[in-house]
Amino acid sequence: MKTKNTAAVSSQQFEEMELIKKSRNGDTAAFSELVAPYSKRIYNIGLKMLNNREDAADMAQDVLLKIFRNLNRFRGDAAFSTWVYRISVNTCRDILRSSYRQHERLFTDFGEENEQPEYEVADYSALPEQLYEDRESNAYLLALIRGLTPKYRIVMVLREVSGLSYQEIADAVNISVGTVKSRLNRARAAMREKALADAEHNPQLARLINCQ
Amino acid sequence: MKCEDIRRHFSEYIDLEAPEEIASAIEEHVAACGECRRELEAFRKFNAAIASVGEEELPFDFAVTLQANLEEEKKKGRSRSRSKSRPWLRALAACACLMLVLGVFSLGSSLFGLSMGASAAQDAAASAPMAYAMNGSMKRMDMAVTEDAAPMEEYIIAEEEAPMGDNGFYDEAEVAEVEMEADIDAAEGGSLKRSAGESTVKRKIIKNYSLSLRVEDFDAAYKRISELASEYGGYVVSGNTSDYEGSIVRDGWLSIRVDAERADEVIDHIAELGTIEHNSFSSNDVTSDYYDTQTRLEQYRAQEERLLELYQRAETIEDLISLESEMTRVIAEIESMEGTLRYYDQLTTLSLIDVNLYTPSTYTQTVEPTGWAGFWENVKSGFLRGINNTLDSIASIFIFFVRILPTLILLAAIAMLLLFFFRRGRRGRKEKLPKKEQE
Repeated sequence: MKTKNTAAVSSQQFEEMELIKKSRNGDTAAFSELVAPYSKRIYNIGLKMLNNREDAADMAQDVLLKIFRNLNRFRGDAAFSTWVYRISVNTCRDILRSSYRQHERLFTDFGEENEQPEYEVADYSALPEQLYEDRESNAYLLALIRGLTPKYRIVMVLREVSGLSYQEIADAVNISVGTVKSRLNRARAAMREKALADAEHNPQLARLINCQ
Repeated sequence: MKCEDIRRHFSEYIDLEAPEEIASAIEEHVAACGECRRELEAFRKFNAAIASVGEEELPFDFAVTLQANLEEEKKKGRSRSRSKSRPWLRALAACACLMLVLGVFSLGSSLFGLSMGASAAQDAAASAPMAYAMNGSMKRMDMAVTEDAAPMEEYIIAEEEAPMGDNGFYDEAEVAEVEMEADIDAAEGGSLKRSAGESTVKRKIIKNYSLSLRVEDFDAAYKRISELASEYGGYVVSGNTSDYEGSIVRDGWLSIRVDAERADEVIDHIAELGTIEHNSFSSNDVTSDYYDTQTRLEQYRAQEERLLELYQRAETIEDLISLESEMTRVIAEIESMEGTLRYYDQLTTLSLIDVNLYTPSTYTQTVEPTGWAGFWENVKSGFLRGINNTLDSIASIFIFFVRILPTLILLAAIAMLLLFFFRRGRRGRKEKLPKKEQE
């Protein structure tokens, strides 16, 4: 069973390498096939990290073009997916940096090891009070994720939305696995604290997050 | 372990990323501690809720936009990689640059009156679209000459690229390809159908043409082009003619919009009116903008409907007021987006053709690139001119001599006369003296 699995994985990798080779020669159809499994994921990372669909779509297009342009530089010593996530993370960071220059302090330490004080884990000042009364619980949860400061948010998104392992997250964001662990822990604690505080006045929300 | 320490590891535990000893410690602890068991359960549920946010589908036009972006990137990349992969092309490009520098240099020196006519390069220059129609005052001549340096540059580069198989129609070929793809998209239909099901994805391309036309009968051509605009489902956007007193050329321009699909026919008709000396084409793909706007418009319309529903059910004055202000905003957005779409529709269904019209002129000036090509001719003509100059000066000296000859003769006569009297006077005195001596 185990051998069968690895064989399947390597044949998938082989296929990927073939598509990469074709794409390098300018075969756009091959490239579309190559990135098809990632497009949606990249877009959704953008959707959670940035504020709207337009920005997310622009970001995803930008990432895919960067991949296409730099395919020659992909050496294949790491997984293609890692490389894709890395470019996605960096692109998000660049966009956030340029659009929030005044808060640069919060964003420069994206890949930094030392932890920030607790109060900077999340910033819910922009979250409208009545949002959780909305029937769309998704909107509330999304706002909860977007309320995290970017260095916590990216880890959270890669874990809960993209479903990456700690090691994959560490590679993509360029931090250690230990840092991934502690950031996820802090991010979850901050989100839960906020949700519990909101749920005290709102039974509907309490039901939603299953904490009563 | 204390409960606090155990709970610190819940995050990695639910992710199945906790080391084995921590995982087993947690399991042991929650089996014994009811509070921590409930806490773990709540923690797990909360995270399930977060994960339920999940992934959203890609925007419907994402693939189309990506394909367009890739093609554009490829076009950019092709010129890059081509010069990279063929070193001889780089050498050729370097030669072209060198020629350019020499050309500009000699053009510059010709402006300072150091020019010597070059005949070898003249033939090549004659075919290049460098004729510059002069109209109005001669003062503009200097400017005209310097401006011509730019077309020369284009000309040389075009010459070098021609053997590569890429000619001036590169862009049009590319556009045709895009249109073909759009047709295939339309044929494949299904997956690209818009949610409203009104139409399929069709490329939205704004095409503009620009022509320079030399005509014999200015007025007739001007009138004919205006007629063509309405014949081909369009209109005259703007026009301008000038006919200065005493000027030899007539010139003017005319912008028309015509049915985009038949723009080529119109250009053929225009070509029949005279000689097209310059022809350029540009296109702008607004497909993604267009469908973005359309999608947003649909979202806004849906929102408008929802707001209307809410408005009918609203009970308090505050609700009514806030709903009304929101509706005003949504309606304004809808109208502005509808306007944008109409604007794009108009631009893409009607192509713009700019025609620059002028009559041929005796003042047409040709600037020909000089250079090493005419070097020996220049040396030869310089030498001949030197001989001519020498002969000329000899002739001048001769003519001068002939002209002053009568004066010289007169002067000589006077001089001889004076000499004669002078001598006679002296002889007379001599004759007297011996007389005295005799006395």
